[in-house]
Amino acid sequence: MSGPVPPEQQEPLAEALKTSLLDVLETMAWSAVKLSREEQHSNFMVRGEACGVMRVHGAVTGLIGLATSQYTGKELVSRIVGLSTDMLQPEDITDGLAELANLIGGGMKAKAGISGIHLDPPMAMVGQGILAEWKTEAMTRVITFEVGRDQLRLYANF
Amino acid sequence: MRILIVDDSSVMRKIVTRGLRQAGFAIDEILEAGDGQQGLEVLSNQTVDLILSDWNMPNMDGLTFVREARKTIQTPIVMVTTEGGEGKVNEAIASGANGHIKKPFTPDTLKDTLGKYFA
Ligand SMILES: [Mg+2]
Repeated sequence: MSGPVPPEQQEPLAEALKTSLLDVLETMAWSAVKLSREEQHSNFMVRGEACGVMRVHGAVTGLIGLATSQYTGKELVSRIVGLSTDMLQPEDITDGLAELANLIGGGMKAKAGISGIHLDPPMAMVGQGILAEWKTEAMTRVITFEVGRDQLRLYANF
Repeated sequence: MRILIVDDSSVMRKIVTRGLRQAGFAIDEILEAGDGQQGLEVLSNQTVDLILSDWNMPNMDGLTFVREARKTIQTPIVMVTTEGGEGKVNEAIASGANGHIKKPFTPDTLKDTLGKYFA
């Protein structure tokens, strides 16, 4: 089974993804993450300095994205591994963002209660002013969280 | 207890290490390998008490690693992965894995799943 996600599954999937992000960041010791706002975009365009993207296939087809600043990306990775930011190499940041996307996708799978969802290996990008687009026909929910004084965006395309 | 963590992500190896320490397990040493092939190399000249392995890795994936390791050793192997589908878990168990931990995990999950190997 594959193909577009039926409308009645889109909301539960997006909810599962949101809850998963909050759970992952909370259990990985980030104390202040707050849901800020949600928008619908007609394309899947990830904007930021530290981004992770992952394709979902199988029972549902879609894309998951994460984007934040380099500062917060580095801070998040430092917290999940338990090492100070100055001990992290640039490749630790891409690795960490990719694994973060994978963890959040894994949590979504567990919470969505839909069997047969597969996650492709994630990709991560770190740099200034990244704008990455993945062509897709589905709408994208862009969910913004406040992380400290910064923002983190979660992209759900199902 | 000596533990081998097999994962292509160095960040994930650190997360697992941190989780094991937070779970309060008595650990003497943690060895790391970046893929199944490296895992086998470690096992060819070192003895460990528990192996935690990722599923998706370059060179040699987790399933092949389990099959190859089982040709020579019977050390418990627990898969740590987001590939939590029943079919895949059963395939890993049939190939010789002893259990499965779903990512994301908490120190409590690690305690529950791995406690018996530290008893
Ligand atoms: Mg991997």
